[in-house]
Amino acid sequence: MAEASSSITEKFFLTLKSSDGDEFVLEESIAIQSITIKNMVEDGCSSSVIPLSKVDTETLIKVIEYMKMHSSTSSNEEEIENFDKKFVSNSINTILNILEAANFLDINNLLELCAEAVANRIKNKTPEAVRKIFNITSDFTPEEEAEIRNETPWAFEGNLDHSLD
Amino acid sequence: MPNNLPHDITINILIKLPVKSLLRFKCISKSWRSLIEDDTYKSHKIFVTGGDCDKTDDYFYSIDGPLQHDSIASLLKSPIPEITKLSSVCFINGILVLILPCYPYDLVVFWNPAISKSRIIQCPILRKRERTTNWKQFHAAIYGVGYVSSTDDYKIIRVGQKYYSSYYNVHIYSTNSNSWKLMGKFHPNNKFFDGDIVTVDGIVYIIAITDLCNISPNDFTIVRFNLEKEKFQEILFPDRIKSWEDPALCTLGENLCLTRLHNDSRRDFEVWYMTKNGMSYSWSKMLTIPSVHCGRCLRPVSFMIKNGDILFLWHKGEFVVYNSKKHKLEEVKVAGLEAPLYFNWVVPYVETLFFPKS
Repeated sequence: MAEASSSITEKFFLTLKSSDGDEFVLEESIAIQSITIKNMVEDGCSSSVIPLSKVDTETLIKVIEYMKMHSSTSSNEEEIENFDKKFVSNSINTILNILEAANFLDINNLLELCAEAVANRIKNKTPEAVRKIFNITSDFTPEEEAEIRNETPWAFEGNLDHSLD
Repeated sequence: MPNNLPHDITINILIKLPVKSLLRFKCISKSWRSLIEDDTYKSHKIFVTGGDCDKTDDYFYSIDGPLQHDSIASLLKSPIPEITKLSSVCFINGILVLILPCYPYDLVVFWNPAISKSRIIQCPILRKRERTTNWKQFHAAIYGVGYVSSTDDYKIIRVGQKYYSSYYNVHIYSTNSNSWKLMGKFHPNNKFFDGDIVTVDGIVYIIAITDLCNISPNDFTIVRFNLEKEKFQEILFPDRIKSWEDPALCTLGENLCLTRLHNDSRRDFEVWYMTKNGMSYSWSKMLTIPSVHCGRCLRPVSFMIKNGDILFLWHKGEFVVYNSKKHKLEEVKVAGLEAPLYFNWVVPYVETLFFPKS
């Protein structure tokens, strides 16, 4: 066993620091799924702690969970599929936070997964529910809004979802 | 709670939404409206096949999202070496699916023109040669294609006649099982045209004369076929659909639509749409164009995202919208479609990077 382990190439570790100040140690080979981190490593800025000022602890834990599952060394296809399914069942606010982090960290697969999940969750929602979820205040006058609704009244009919998740 | 999500993230979400949701979300805010009208709709295209006559599909085109006048068409490189008349074109689950009548086996072509990827599979059923008499008037077989997400299966429904004046057999093909199954029969009085079969959300809708209901053999009914459960069911329309009304089905913004002529003397053209509320259905009239006279010369294609107008194909030759204030059809010019071509298949699609695993 000792001989076998000696043939494995040396592992490098990185320390990621969340906006809340929590530090996470992660294998470099896993962390460089993030193109942002990969670029930092290549530029030699990774010897100390990598501060991720736009990612809070809760979100970073989820992102690391995702990167570990999707790193090439572990997990088969079916496991990954099941993990992704469970991953997107998080609350829509959590997914939006992860989406923002994935955009900042430049993890394309995660970005696609979350964008698809958000689209699926909101596609049958009312405009009011979507406004609340995205924290948007309408800047239309009631008349302007009525005009848009009158253009395609059928798009506002049917079994629309009022829920905020 | 995300505050002011960056625009590129919002666009990334919006491009994954169906047209119906986009039209609804235009009223969320001014910034969302402009993201939808100016950016998101760029990935929405229209696939068009054109031929020198209406029996062939010689050229494939992609038209840029019809969000305004003066759209541009570009020629697509066909995934099939020799194009003949296509039996069906659908946009499902991020890809175009073409059905190509071939002897001895029909071919199913999965195609994503955005990434130039395609795969051809054979349907293992020996097909009868198409009847060529009356060929111009109606089809010996019509096809619908749908995707069942729960089993990751593409299913093809074929309604075809073996011999003249025999019953039409309804077969269903599954790419998972790679086999055909007989599902039922339709009355020999049927004459199928384009627009008699449409798939929305895993449900195939067929407009036909059937033995399902006790109506006169000249009246039509709409039948729905659930691809997942493989079951037929009749759908009621507010009034009886008579054969002179020239009824046709289409999809518009993920809704099932029916077009027909109404009022025997005036011959107005009507567009109806169906909404599903749980298990129940309801029909509403979306548009009436007075005195059109011919039911099949106007085929709804998609929505103009700017104002929700319906874009129609007029006599297989030009694109038009109806100006309800001036009461007239106005041409929407498409640069790149100069030659006098017949447009046989006109299918809205969305550019994706998806391709199904084999």
